[in-house]
Amino acid sequence: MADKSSLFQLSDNIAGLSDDSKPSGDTGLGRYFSNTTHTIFDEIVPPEKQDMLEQPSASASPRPVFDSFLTDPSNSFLENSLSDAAEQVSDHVTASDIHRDAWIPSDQTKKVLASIATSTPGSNFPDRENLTMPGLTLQGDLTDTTKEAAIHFLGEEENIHRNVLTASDVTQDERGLRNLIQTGCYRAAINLTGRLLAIYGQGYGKINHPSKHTPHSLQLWFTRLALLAKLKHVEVLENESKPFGNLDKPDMFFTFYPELYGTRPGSMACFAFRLLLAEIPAYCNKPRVALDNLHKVLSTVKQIIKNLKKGFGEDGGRLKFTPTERDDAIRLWVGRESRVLISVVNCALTLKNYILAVDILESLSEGTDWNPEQRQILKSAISRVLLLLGDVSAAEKQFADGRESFQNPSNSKELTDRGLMAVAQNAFQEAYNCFKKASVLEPSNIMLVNNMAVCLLYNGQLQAAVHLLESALVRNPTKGLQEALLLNICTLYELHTTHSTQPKLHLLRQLNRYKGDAIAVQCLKLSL
Amino acid sequence: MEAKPKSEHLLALKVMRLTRPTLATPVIVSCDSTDLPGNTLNNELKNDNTSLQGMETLAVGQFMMLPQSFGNIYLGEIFSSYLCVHNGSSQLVKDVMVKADLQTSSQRIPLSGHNGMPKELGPDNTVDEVIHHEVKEIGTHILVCEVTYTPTVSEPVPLSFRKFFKFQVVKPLDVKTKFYNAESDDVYLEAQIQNQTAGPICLEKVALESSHLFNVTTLNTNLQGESIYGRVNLLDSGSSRQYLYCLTPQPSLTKDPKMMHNATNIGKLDIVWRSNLGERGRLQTSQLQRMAPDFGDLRVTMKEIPPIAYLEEPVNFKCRIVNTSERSMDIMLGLESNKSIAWCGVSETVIGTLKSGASCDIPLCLIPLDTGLVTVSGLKLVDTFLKRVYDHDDLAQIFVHQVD
Repeated sequence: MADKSSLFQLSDNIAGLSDDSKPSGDTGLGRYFSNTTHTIFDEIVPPEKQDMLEQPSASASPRPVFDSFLTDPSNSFLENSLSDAAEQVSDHVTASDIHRDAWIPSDQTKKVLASIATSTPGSNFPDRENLTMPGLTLQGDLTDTTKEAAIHFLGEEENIHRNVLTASDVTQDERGLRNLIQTGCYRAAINLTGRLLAIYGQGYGKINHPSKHTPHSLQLWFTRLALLAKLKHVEVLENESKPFGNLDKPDMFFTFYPELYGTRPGSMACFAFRLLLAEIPAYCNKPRVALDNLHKVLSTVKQIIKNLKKGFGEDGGRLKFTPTERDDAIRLWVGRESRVLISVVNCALTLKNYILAVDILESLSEGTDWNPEQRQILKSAISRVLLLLGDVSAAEKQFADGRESFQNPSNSKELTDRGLMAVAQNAFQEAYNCFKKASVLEPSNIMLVNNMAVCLLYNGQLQAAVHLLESALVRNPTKGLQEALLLNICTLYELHTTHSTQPKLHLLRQLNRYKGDAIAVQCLKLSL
Repeated sequence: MEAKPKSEHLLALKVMRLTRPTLATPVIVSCDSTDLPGNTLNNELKNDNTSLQGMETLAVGQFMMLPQSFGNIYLGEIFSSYLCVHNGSSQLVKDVMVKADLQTSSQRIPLSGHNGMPKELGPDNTVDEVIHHEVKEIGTHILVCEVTYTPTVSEPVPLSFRKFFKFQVVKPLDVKTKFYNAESDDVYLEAQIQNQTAGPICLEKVALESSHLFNVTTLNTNLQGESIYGRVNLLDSGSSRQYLYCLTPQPSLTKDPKMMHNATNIGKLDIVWRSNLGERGRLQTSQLQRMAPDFGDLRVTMKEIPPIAYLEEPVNFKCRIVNTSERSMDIMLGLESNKSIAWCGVSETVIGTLKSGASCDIPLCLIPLDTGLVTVSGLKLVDTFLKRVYDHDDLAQIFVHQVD
């Protein structure tokens, strides 16, 4: 490996951190892609996958789960085990990678990339303005606030029941990261991303310092920012996402590094990262900016679909591919288009721009790629948006549309819709009955129990509401101990008695025992 | 149970305003299984109680959240509150009464507890009540709650305490009206409604409930019967909308110019709006008054005037003269031609006596001398008794075509 660039070694180092038994050598594939980088993905890629290249059409099933939210309901990423997912991960460029990574840079960036492609290798020294220079703004680790609150309110001895992972308890790699996320330890996961990014020279205080990017480092950033968003760590999120802009700097594209990736096209950052960056301003109280960003992403996606349909590559260049591959690529990008549109709807809802939300949902529901169940979900979403804005009669029409049994609903989805309709009409007893019937059909659905409890309160039955939520927590503490439910139950406790601290502390004790570090303890409304 | 000072009461009162619940939604981040987080983020989303099952990326959930703040309250909305009196002591308490009144700047409105029976309340039990009241006044409101009870363990002396909750009621809508009195005696009402609340609202109903003197036609739908305000009935905060109504006077009214003139009561606007998850409000305007047009002593209108006229071809129509004065009049009709029209008929004809309130229709004929929009003018009425002259120079306009 002595002949490899420093960047190469850097990623090898990271791989080394996690696993010393990385399969040695790139076997036969190196001759096709002598420039492929190594990441820790290597450790989990079975060698037999390497023949993907020879048969691109066989491997070209670019239907990532992210899109399957939209295109394939039965699917599910739930069924895919982690190792399955990992198997698809390869640093070897396959046809589906090319479609997945495709993107159209801005004209300015295209120019820079073209000048790099045409210059002698090694003679190109890019301007700072062409570089993406991220860094951590968080010095030190995020602390486990659940643990801190438990110690504060319940005493040191309670800590013996705390049994959650920290960044140091897992392998220092992406497997460790997934482990932390899976167990609800977002803060620890964020800390681990920080450690790993420091190895790339993108640690604390490194904003505006040039550093090298790899697909792996950008995946780390995506993971970190996604988790910061989940935790609503707005300030850090805003500051750390800023250096990435809209991922259009030349160094975000493979062709910026001809010595490493040859002429491999596409964006080094994944599509999910692009979408997240576009949405981040919405979490930072700037939803209008997010809406603009999303429309920019959307217009590029539409251009890509247009190019593909004309028989060109995604970026409008000439590309040879089989009809199946092309169809798969189109399906991938149409799925992404729908995903972006859904983000636009979400952003419109934040802005209370219900007209835009309804417009897009209607055009989405007219799409042909949905199965009947999904179409119904979209329609009932439209009617719920109408309820949010207060148009009860239009919502009722929409609810009833295409449902024969609506006056006498039988399945839990219809019953839930009916229940919310009744809430809008201030008929909380009827609403309660609907949610209750639905809950009999779907006993494990906590949302239904919660809605029943809310209805009980509006009917003057506070104690019954408390008991209902408490029993739901007892039945399924891991599923029940989520912020929204906790916030509701603590609101009820506060209304019930001035002595609400005791039951709240009981909840804290449970959080301390059963949950990771991702919960915002403020939802318990404990006064410090 | 926490220790508490002796002076504290055995019972505690808590109050929570019940606005409509909101719908919760998770922070939605999804990715491809090939991305670093694999399926972990997607699974978390799927396991979130507040996500929309089957389409987790869409932030239109079904999980209801209880209100977390008092929020705004607007005139015409229903003020709903939960009152909970909890016995936090370890003894039974007797004769528990909970009374709630709403004090406004002008009156005190009893809301609850004024004719209830006193209750017994065991330890850790509660008295629960949900009160509703439609707010009909703007300004400061104070919810006054009074709890009286008698302990059973210590001295059985009746005890009581009061709690006050202050809030402001503000105006949700601004309504401006304009009237147009048409030649035909129809009255048009334009109502401009501005949303002054903090968020978008849905105007569920904006109806003109007219007085019995008029029939109302609503002019807010197109020929297909669809709303002219777009497919989604929504009025953003700060935005306005115009509603238009046509009021046609009852036939009995049109016969009598005096009654018509006195028919100034138009009716009331009845407005119902909804906001968050169906939160409802209703306002009625006071009786709307129009200014009846003043026609002077004589009112002249054109009847049966043809829509199209041709150059130099006679146009026949009728002219209605109404005596809107208090006295009888002897009237003479004069006709003066000009360069656009020539009257065809005898000028200076005596029409005769027209009693107060009476009317007559006179057939007239004119010949247009010019093309385009031509004003019918030059009609002169003379009251022969008082020698008073009434000139009518802008009676109507006709559009004159060239003969093909």
